[in-house]
Amino acid sequence: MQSFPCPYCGPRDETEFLYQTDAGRTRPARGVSDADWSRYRFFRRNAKGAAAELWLHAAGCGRYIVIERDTLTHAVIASKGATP
Amino acid sequence: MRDRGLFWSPVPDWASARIERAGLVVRPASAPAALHLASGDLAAIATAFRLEGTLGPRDPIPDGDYALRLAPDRCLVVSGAATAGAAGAAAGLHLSEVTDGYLLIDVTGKAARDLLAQGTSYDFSDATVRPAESANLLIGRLRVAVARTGEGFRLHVERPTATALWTWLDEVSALGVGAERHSSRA
Amino acid sequence: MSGTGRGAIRLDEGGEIDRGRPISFRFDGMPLQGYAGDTIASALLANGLRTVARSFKYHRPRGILGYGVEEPSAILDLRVGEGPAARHDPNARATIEPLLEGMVLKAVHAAGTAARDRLAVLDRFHRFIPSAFYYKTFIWPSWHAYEARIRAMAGLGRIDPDARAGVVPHRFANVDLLVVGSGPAGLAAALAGLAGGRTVMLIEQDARIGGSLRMRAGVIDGRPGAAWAEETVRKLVDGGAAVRTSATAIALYDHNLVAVHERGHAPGGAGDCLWRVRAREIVLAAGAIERPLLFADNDRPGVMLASAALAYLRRKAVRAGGKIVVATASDAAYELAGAMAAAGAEVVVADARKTVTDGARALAGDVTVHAGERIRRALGRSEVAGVELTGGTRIDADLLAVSGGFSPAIHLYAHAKGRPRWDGSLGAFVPGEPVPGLRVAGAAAGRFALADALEDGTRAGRGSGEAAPAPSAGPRAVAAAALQHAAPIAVPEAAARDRVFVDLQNDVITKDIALAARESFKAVEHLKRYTTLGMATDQGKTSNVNGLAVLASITGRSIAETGVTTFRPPYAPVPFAAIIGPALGELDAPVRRLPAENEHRAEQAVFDEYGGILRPAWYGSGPDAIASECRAARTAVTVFDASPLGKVEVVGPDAAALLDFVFYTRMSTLKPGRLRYGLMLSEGGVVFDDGVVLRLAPDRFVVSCSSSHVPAVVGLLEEWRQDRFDIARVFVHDTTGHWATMAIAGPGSRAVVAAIFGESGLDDVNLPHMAMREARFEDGPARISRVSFVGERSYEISVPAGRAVALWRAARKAGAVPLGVEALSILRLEKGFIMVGVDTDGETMPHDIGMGRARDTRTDAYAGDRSLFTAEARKPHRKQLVGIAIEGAARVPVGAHAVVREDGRRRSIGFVTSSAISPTLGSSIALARIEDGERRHGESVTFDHLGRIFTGRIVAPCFYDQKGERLHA
Repeated sequence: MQSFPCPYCGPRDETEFLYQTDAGRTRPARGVSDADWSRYRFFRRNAKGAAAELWLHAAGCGRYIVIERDTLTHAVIASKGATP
Repeated sequence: MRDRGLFWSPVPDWASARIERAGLVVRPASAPAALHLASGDLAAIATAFRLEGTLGPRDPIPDGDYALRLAPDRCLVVSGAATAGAAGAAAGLHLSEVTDGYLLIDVTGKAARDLLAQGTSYDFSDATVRPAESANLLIGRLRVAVARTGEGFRLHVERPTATALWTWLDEVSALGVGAERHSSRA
Repeated sequence: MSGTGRGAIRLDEGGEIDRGRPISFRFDGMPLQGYAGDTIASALLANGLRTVARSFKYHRPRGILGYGVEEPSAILDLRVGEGPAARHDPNARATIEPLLEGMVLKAVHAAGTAARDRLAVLDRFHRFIPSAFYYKTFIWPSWHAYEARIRAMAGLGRIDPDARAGVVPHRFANVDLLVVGSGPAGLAAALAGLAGGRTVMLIEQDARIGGSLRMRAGVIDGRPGAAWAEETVRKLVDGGAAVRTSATAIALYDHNLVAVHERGHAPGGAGDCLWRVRAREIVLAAGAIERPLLFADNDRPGVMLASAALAYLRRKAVRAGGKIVVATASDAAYELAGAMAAAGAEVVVADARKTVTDGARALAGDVTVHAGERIRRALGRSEVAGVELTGGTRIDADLLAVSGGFSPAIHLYAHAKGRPRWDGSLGAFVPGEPVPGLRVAGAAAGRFALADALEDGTRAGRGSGEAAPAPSAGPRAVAAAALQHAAPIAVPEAAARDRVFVDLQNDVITKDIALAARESFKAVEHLKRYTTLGMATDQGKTSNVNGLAVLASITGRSIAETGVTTFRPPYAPVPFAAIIGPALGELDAPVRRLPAENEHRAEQAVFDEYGGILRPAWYGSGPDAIASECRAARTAVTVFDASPLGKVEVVGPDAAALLDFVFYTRMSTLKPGRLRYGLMLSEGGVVFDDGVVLRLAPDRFVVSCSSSHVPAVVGLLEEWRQDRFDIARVFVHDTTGHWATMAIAGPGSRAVVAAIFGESGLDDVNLPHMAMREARFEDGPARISRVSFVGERSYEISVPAGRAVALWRAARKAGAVPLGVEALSILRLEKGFIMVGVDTDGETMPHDIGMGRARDTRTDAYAGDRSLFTAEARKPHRKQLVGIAIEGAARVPVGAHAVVREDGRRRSIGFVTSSAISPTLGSSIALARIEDGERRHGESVTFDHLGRIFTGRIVAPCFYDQKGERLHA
C-alpha cells in the first residue's frame, strides 16, 4: 500500500485515494472529430517511469490532486491540487 | 428469501448505548443543537461562527462551538445554539443544515488511541501543522470525521453509517485494547 | 518405539525452560511431557523422538532439521483448548509453536503415525516417480480423472471444517525506525535510533529478544551477550520503544509498509495480531539461516542444522544426541562441537577443509577432527545410526549436525525490489544495491562477526539524522579471533542409487534437478515450478541456494549466472484469519441503515439489502404480502420509507450552471418550489443516474438521486465542479442523512397528508404535480413534494431524520399501509419507470430509453454531450427500451434473450431487464431492451432463457395508466 502526500491533508494511505486518469487532459470542444474524441476518452499514456496522474482523495478532503510519481519504482515525486 | 434483518444487529438505542472495556468508554456524545455544512473560505466561516479556527484530526475540540474541516473549503459546524444557522446565513455563508445527519461518538480513556489504531493508519503523533487537512479518516473502512477530546477522540459519523461504526467499535474493542497489549514480552 | 533412548537428553539445568511447570501433551497418541518455555520441537526432542513427520511425496521418515522459521519437515496437526476457545492448526510448525498444556499433536502426512506410515511403501517406488511424473503419466483421458486421488496422497495437513479460527485484530503503527530482528545488530540499531530521538519499533520473530546472543558466546560492553540483550531491551522499553516478540515481518510493501504477524499463542488464536507498520526507515537485521549439506540419505531423522542443535542445547537445555558427528566447511559449527562435548556427548568433527583455523580449534576444544572429509552418506535404516565419510571411515552417531554455510535473511530487502548479489567468497546471496529507506545490518548483510554486527547496527540505526551519535558510541564487542563463515557448497557425485535431498519439504532430490535441466528447465523460475524446489510453507529457506548450486554444477554455470528465484511475500506462513482480521460477519461489508429501521422491525418487515442499504422488502409473512401492498397503492394509500433517496444540495451563484452541465436535462429553467426529473450522463454518454431536482431558491437546489447512487452522484457533481467551475461560487453538500423521507402514495394519499399537515395549501393549484411546499412537523421543518414513482397521486414528505418514526406513525395512524421495496419495484415496472443500473447498463444512452429530446435540442455543453453523437451512438438498430406483454401466467426471468432466426441461425436482439406478474393487471409483464424496439411495437417476440421459451408482444414501456391520470386522482 502506497502512502500519498495529499497537498491538503498530508500523508495518507493509498486506500483513501482513487485513481482517475492522466493529469493535464483537457476536455475538447463539442465540434471535435470522433477520432479525437475517442483519443480523449480512451487513450492514456500508461507511462513506465515518471508519470503525472490525477487522483481523487475520496475518503479525505474530496479534492482532485495531481501526483507525480514513478510507476516503476512507485516513488512519489510531487503532489499538488488539481484545482487552483 | 432470507430475512437479512436477522443477520444485521438492529440500530442501537443511542440514548443508552455504551461500550465499556478496561481503559475505554465509548458512548454517543450529547446531541448538539445544530450541525451545518458550511462552504467557502474557512477563515470567513470561523469568523461568522465566532470560532478560533477549524479543526483537523489531531486538533483538540474546544469548549463550546467548533468546526471540523472536511475539505479545504468545507466544514462541519457543531453549534450549541439552534439559531447558529440563521446567524451564519445572515453572514452570507453557504450553509446546509445536517443536524440529524450525523451521530457524534466519544471514544474516551487510555485505550482510546489503541482502539483507533486498529482501524486507521492515521499518525496522530505527527506534529506537522496542516491548516487545510481534512478531519475525514477511514476507521474500520468507514468514513469518519475525527477530532481529539481531553482523553480520546470524538467521531462524527453520518447517521446511515453510525450502526456499522458502532458495531466495529464494539466487536473490535472486545478483542482487546489498551496499554497492556503494548508491553514488551521480552 | 523407534527413535527413543538414543542419547538425546534434557540437561538438568540451564535453558529458558521452567522445570517447575511441567506440561503434558500427546504426540501420535503417546502421552509426553515438556516444560513451560519449550517449543513443540524442543519437547519432542527432549522426549527422545527423532521421527516426527513423513515426507510429502515418498512418505520417508523425517525429523526436526531446524530451530525456527526455516523448518521444512516438522509440521504437525495441532489441537488445543476446548469449547469456543478450541484451536486447530492443520499445519503447525513444531519449531515455532510454544508447548501448551493438553496439546494433541499428530503427524500430518502419515497414514497412521510418523513412526509407522502405511504409505511408506511409496518410497520403494521412488525411481518411478521423479519430478513431473504425475503430469507426464496421468494424461489420459485427463489429468483431472486422477487428480483427486493423487492429491489425497500428497499435501500436508487437513482442515477441520468444524474448527473456527479466532478473530485477529489488525493494528497500524507509524514509526521513524522499524528494526526487524533483535540480535546484536538489531539491538544496536534500535539503541542508536532511540538515541537519535526517533520513535522506534523493534520486532523479533522468536519469543525472546536476543537472536544469536541467546546461544552463541560473546561479550558486549563487558557483559555476556544474553545479559547485555536483556539489559538493552529494558533500556529500549524505558526509552519508549515498542518491542514486540513472537512477531514476524512477513512482507514489505510500497513506501516502507511492513506487515508483521504477531503470534499470541493463546488457544483460539487470541492474542494474535497483524500489524501494518509504516516506517520512515527500516533496519533489516534478520540474521542468517544455516544451510544443510548434500549427501546421500541426508534427510534421515537425526540430521539437524548445527545452529539448531546449538540453540536446542543452550536455549532449551536439550542435547539432541549422545554420539554426534558435526559436519562443516567453516568455523561456525565448532562452537556446537565444543558445547556438546562439554555437555557430555561424544563428538567428532568432519571438516571439508584441509586445515582447521585456530579460531575453530579454540571453540571446539579437544574433539577429534577429520580434516578434509565430508559426509558421503548417512547410515541407518530409518533414522541416523552413523555416517560414512568420503574417506571411507564409518562413525556411529545418533545426531548429524550439519553446517553448509549461511544464507542471509534478505527477504524483506528483496520485497523492496532490492536485487540480491551472489558473494562467491561468502558463498551466499547478500544485498546488492541499497534501496531507499532500508538498511541491512549484521548477518543479514553477510557480516557475521559480533563486532561487525554491532557496528553495522549502530550505523544503520542512527540513519542520516544529525542528532544521532557516531557509530563509535555504540555497543562494542571484544574482538575474538575472526571466524570463517564462508562455506563453498559441495555438490556430491551421487551414485545411481543414492538419493541426495535438496528440498526436504517437497522431496526434491539432486536427480530431479538434473532431470529438469535435461528437459531444458534451466532457468531458476522454471526449475522451481517443474520440480517444486523451494515451494510450500518453508519457501526453500534451507533448500534454495543448495538447489541453485546443484543446477549451476549440472549446467556448468556459476551460481551468480544461475540467479535466484524471486522472494515473494509472505516470508513465513500466515493464517488467513490474520489477513482477514476483524472484517467478518457484520464487519465484512456493512450496510447503511434507515433512521426508522427499528420501527420497520416492529412492523414485521422482512429486510433485504438494496444497493448496500438494509430496507424492508415487504411487511408481514403472508404469501400474498407483496401483491397486497401493490393493490393497496393502487386502490387505497401506502407509506414507503424512501429516506435513502438522495438529498444532495447544490448551492451558490453557479449552482444552476453546474446542474445544467451535469444534467442531461436543463435545470436552470426550473422555478423555485418546483421539481424536474432528469438524467445524468457519464462522459461516455451513458445514463449514469436519474433523479428529481428540486429548486429551493435561485442559488439552491436539492438533487434527489437514486438511493444507492448518492455517493456516486456527489462524486460526479464534485468532479465537474472542480474541473470546470469556480469552486468559490458553487458547493455540493450531501444532506441525505439529515432527512427522512416517507412517500405517501395512492388515491387516499391526499387525505393522509391532510391528516398530518392540515388541508391548507394541499390543493392541486397550490401544490400541483412536481411542486413542493414547505411545512412544519413537530416543531421542525418539512418538505412536501408531489413526486410519484408508482404512478398514483403521491407525496414525498421529508423531515429531519430524528422525526422519521413520528412521521411514519402519523402516516400509519392516518390509514396508510406499509409498502416495501419489492412492491414498489413492481408498481414502477407497471408504469415503465426505469431503474438505472437495472433497466440500463453501460451501453444505454438517453435516446435508447425514449429521452432523446435534449440530445436533439441542446447546443450548450453538458456531460456526455459529444459521446451522444459518435458513430456508435448514431448507429441504427440500437437497443431501445420497450414493454413486453408476456403470454401466459409465468414470469419471464430477467436476462432472458429475445431471439430471432436469421439466415438459419439464432441471434439475440435484446433481453429482459425487469419482469413481474402484475397484481394490478393480473398478467405477466416485463421491460426489455430490444434492437429498434420503438419501431417494433405490436410485434411478437420469443424469449429464450436457458431453454425455457416465452412469447410476448412488444408494447410501449407503460402498462398502466398511459395518460397519467392517476397522478391527479
